[in-house]
Amino acid sequence: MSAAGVIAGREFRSFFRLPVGWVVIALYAALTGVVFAAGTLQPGGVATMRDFFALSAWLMLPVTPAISMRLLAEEARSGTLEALVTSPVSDAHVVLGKYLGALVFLVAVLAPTLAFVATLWLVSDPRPEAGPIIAGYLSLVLLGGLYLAVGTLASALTSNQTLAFLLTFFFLVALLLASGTRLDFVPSWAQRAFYAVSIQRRVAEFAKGIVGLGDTVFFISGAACFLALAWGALESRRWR
Amino acid sequence: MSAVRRLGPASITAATAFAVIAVAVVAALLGARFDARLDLTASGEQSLAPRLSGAIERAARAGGGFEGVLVADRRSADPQAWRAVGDVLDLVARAGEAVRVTRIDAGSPGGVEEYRRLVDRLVERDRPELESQSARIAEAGAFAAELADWLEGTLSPALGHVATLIEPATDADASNRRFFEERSAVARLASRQLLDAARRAGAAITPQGGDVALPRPDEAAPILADALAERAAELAAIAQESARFAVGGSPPPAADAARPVAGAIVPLRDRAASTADTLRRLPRPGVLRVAGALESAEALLAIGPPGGGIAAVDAASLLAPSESAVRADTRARAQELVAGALAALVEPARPVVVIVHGEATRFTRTLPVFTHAIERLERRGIDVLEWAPVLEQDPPHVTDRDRIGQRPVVYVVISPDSSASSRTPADKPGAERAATLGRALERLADDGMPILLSLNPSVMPTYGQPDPVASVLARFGLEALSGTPILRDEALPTGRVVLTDHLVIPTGGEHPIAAAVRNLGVALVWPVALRRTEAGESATVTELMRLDAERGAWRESQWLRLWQTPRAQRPYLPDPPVFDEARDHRDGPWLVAAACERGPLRLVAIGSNNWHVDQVAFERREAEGRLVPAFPGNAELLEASIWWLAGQESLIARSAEARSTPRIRPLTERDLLALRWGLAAGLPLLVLLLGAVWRGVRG
Amino acid sequence: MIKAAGIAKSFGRVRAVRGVSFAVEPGQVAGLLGPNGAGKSTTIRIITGFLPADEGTVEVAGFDTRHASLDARRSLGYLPEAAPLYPEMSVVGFLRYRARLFGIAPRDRARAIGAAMERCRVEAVRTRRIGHLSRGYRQRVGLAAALLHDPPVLVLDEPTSALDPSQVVETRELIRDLGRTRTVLVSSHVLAEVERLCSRALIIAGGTLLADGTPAELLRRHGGPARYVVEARDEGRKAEPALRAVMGVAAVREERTDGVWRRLAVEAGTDAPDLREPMAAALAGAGVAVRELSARRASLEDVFLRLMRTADPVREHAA
Repeated sequence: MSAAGVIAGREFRSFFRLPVGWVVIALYAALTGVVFAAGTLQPGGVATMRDFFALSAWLMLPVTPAISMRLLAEEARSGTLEALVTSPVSDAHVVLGKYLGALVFLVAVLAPTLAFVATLWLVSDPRPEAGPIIAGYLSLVLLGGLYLAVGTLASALTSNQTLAFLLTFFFLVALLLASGTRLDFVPSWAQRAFYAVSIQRRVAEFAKGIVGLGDTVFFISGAACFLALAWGALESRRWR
Repeated sequence: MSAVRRLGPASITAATAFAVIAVAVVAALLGARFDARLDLTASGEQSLAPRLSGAIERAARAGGGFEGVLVADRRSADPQAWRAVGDVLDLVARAGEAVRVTRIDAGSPGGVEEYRRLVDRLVERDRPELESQSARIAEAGAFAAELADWLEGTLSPALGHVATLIEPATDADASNRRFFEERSAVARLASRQLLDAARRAGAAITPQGGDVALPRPDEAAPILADALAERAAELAAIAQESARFAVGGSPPPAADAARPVAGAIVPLRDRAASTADTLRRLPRPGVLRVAGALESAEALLAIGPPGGGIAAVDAASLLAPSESAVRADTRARAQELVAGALAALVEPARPVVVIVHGEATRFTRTLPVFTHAIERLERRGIDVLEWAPVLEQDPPHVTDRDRIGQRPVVYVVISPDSSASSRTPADKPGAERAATLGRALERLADDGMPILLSLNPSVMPTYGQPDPVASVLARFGLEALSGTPILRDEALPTGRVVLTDHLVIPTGGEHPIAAAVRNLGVALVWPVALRRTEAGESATVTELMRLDAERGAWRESQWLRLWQTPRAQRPYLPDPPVFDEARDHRDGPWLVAAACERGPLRLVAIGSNNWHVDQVAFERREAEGRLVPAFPGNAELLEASIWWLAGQESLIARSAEARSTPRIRPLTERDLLALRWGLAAGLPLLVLLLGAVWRGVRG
Repeated sequence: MIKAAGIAKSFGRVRAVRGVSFAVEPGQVAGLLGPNGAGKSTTIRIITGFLPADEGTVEVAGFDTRHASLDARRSLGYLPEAAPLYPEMSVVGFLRYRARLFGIAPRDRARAIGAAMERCRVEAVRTRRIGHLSRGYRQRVGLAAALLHDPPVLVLDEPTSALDPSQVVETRELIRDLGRTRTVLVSSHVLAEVERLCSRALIIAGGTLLADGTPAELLRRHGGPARYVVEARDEGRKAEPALRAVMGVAAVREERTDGVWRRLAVEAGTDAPDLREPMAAALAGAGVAVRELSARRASLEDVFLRLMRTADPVREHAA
C-alpha cells in the first residue's frame, strides 16, 4: 500500500510542477466561475448551489480527461514506464497510485470553487444551508473519481495522450447524453436502461441534499471496475 | 514500447466502448441494491413526510396501480415552486411501484400531446358509464318531450275545456273557472319549460368542441331532474284540485269533465317524479369530477387503478410564488396535498356535502356563487347536494349515493340575510327564513349531524331576539355576537372609509383545521365575533382563528345602513358608522372561527358568511405577472372543515411553517459587476499567477 | 547472478529472440553485444521483467522472474536506454522518490542517496531540475537511481552512449568497480567499449546468441587468423614470395603502395604462433628493406564481423 502512496504522492506533486496542472485548475475555475457568476449570482434570486452542482457533471468533462490522459500514456511515451514497471512495485499499485494522485489533484482543482460558496455565504440572507452544499461537493468528488477512472483506463490502453484524452472525453459525453435526455424515439426497455445508468439524475439527487447509498455505490464501484480494467491492461503485458 | 501496443486506435476505441458500457451496467446493478438515503437538508424536506409515506403505503396495500400526474404550464409557474413540487413527485416515484409519477408541462408542444393522451385515457376509462348515463338522459329527455307534448296538446285543452264548462255565476264559480284557466296556462308554460330543459340537457350530453370534448351527463341530469320534479309537483297540485272539484264541484258537466283529468295526470306525474329521482341518483363519473381541472390544464391529478376514482388537487395555489399570502413551505404543502389526494382515492367512503341555505330557490347549480367550491370538492371525490329547508322539510336522501351507508354527510350552512324583506307576497321575509333555517339546524344537531355554520350579521338582536341561525351554538357553550359585526376604517385622501373586509393570517394550533390554514391568508367579510358561554360543560371548543383588534377594528351596532348600501356606493355614504362608546365595543381580539365537539356531535362555526363563495375564496390576483389565489386560506378552511366534520382528519393537508428561502441580497451594480468579473476571470488568473510564482520559486 | 535458459520472444510474426541461454556470475561484468535490432533490448527487457518471455526462464539473484517477480525486481538495478527520468523533478527529489519506491527504510534513505550521488558524481547538481541537466548528467542520475538500493545485480542499457570521453572513462571505472562485487550486465553496440569494460562478452545477432565467453576466449575462438602488417620497399616484388614461404603464412595481400613503399597485410593460419621473427628473417633474406613489421591484434570487432558473416544472413521468420 505504501508503494501506491509513494506513486500517488509523486504524481500529485508533479501536477504542480508542470504547467498543465495549473492550467487545468485555472480552466475549471473559469468554467465554473462563469456558470456561477451568470447563473447563481442574481440579486433577489434564491441562494443555492443546486444548479451549479447539477451542471458540474458537464463542467467536469473537459477537465478530468486532461488530468488523466498523462497518467500512464505519458510514462509510456517517455520511457519512464519501463523504470516504474521494473521496480518492485506491482501493477496494481502502479494503477492505484497514479489514480489516487490524480484524485487528490482533482480535490485541488475543486478548491477554488469554495470561493463561490464563500461569496454566497456573504451575500445571501439568511445563510444557505450547509447540508446540500456538502452533498454537492461529495457528488463532485465521486463523479470526478469515476471520470478519472475512465481516463486511467484510456491512458493505460494507449501511449498517445491525445487519443487517451479524446477517448475519455467522447465516451463520457456519450454516457451523459444517453442518460440525461429523454429519448422518445428509443424503445422503452432502452429508456429504462438509460435511466438506470443515468449519471445526471444521481448528481441531481446529491445537489438536492440527499446522499444516497445506492448512488454512492454506483460511483465507487464504477470507478473500481475501470481501475481493475486498467490494471488488467497494464498486467496483460506480463503474460501476453 | 510501441511494439507492445499492438492495438490500433480503432480496437482501442472499441475496447473502451465495451468497457464503459459493461462497467456502467455493473455499477448500476450494484447501486440498485441499496436504498438508504441520507437527507442533509436542514428541514428534512427531501424526505417523505410520514403522512405521505403512509398514504403511499395504503395505496400499495390497496393493490397499487395509482398514478400521480402534475399538469401545469411551466412558464407561468413560479420556478422555485415548480422545482419544489417536482422534488416531491421524485420522492413519491422513489417510494416504490404503487404510485407512478408523471409530470406534464402543458406549455410545451410535447406536453400538450401527452396531456391529450392522458385525457383520452381517462375518458376511455369512464366511457361505458358516460355512454350509459347519456343514454338514460336521452331517454328521460324523450319522456320530457312526450310529457311536454301531452301537457300542451292534451292537458291544457282539457283544463281549458273544464273552465269553459263553468259559468261564472257565483264568486266561487268564477274563482273555480279562473283556477282552471290559470292551470291550463300553467300547463302550457310547463310544456315549454320542459321542452327547454330537454333541449338544454340534450346539449349538455353532446360533447362540446375544444380541448376536452366530454359529454356532461352530470350537468344534464340536474337540469332535467329539476324540471321534471317541479312539473311533477305542479301536476300533483292540479290533480289534487281536479279530483276534489270532480267530487263536489258544480256544474256537474264541468265536474264530469274534470274527473278523467285527475286520473290521466297521476301516472304521468308519478313517472315524472320517479324519472327525476333516478336522474338525481346518477353517480358522477371520475373523469367528470375532474373535468374542470382537465379543461384548465392545471392540476395535480391522483388517478386510481381502473375502477378506482380520480381526484384532483388545485395546482395553482401550489405553484404560486412564495411571496403571496402563502407563507407556507411549498414542498411540505405539496407533500400534504399529494398525500391527501392519494388518501382520498384509497379511502372509499368519501363524504357527501349538503349545502343548506335559507333562500327560497335552489341556486347552487345555477348561480355562479359556489361553482368553484363545488368543483373543488367534487374533484376530491365529494358529492355536493343542496337543501333549502324553506322549500323542503326534510334533507335530501343520500342513501342512493351511499348504498353501504358508510358515507358521512356534512351540512354546510349559509346564513340568509335576516334584514331582507319579502319581494313578492309568496316570498317570505329574511327573518322568517332565518327562523326556518334555525329550526332545521336544531333538528340536524339533534340527529347528530355535523355542521359547518357560517354566520351573518343579524338584525334580530336589535329587536331583542336571539339570532335563530346561531341558536344551535348554544349546546356547545358558544354564542355569536351577530348583532355587532366587526368593522374597521381607513383614512384615505378622499376621506374616512369604513371597510367590512378583514384578512386573518392564522397562527396555527394543534387542531387539524388550525394546522391546515396556518400562515395562509383567510379573508372574512362582515365578520361576527364568537364568544364562549358557561353553558357548555360537556362540550369542547377549540379556537381556530382570531381577528386582531390592531387596525382599530370595533364591533358596530349601527351597521344596517351600511349593509344595505351596495358595495360600490359605500365610500360615498355621507355618515358611515363610527365608533360610539355607548353602543359599540372595542373588545378585540375576537374569536372568529371555532371547532366544537360534544360527544359524537361536531360543529365548525365561522363568524362570516360569504367566505367560501367564488368571489372571495377563489379570487385571483396578480403577483409578478402570474395569477395567484388571493386568499388561499379560505378554500383550505372549507376543505379542512369538511374533512374534520366527516371524521376523516387524515385527509387534511397540514400547512407547515415556511422556512425563509435563502436569497441573495440586492447588490449595487458596481458590486455585482465586481463580484462577477472577480470570480469568473479574476480567480483563474489568480491561479495562473500562483502557478507561475510557485514554479519560479521551486526552480 | 543472472541465469537465462532458452528464452524466446516473438512479436507477431517476428521472432525477436530465440533460444538464448547464458549465465553471468557475481564478480563479472558481462557485455551484451550486437547490432541494432539484434534482440539486445528485448533480452534486457525480458531479464528486467518488463516483457514476458514466450519460452524459457530467467533467474535473477536466484529468483525466477515469472514466479518471484517482485523479489527478482528488488534485487535488480536497471538503467534503461536514454535514462528516462521525470524532467520536472529535482535530482535529489527523484532519488528520494526512488528510494521510497524501493522500500528503503527511512533511516537508511539519506545515507543511500548520498552514497549513490557521490559514486555517480552528481552531488553538484542535486537541487537542479532533471530537465535542465545535460544528457551526461542525466545518465549519471539514472545510474545513481539504479544503485540506490544496493542491488546485487545491475543491468545497464548503453550506459556510456551519451557521455563525453572523460565521462566515459569515469563511468567505465565505476562500472568495473561495481562489477567486482556484483553481477553486471551491460548492453552496448560499441564493441570497443565492451572490450575494455567487460570480462565476459555475449554476442547476439538475429535473435540468437552467437558467442559467449571472455574476450580472450572469443578472440581465440573466433578471432580468426593472426594478421601482420609489413611495410617494405620492394620494387622487385620479392616480399610476397618470401613471406609466403614462411611456415604458417596463409595469405599475403597488398593493401596500398606509393610506388616505392608497399604495405602488405599478412594473414596467418589458424593456431599459428607469432610469425614476426620468421617473417623478418624471410624479408631480410630476400633483401627487402622493412620499415614496419607489426602484429595487428584481432579485436572483438573482428570477432563480431566474422561471426556475422557466418551467421545466417537472412533473419529467420517464424513459420
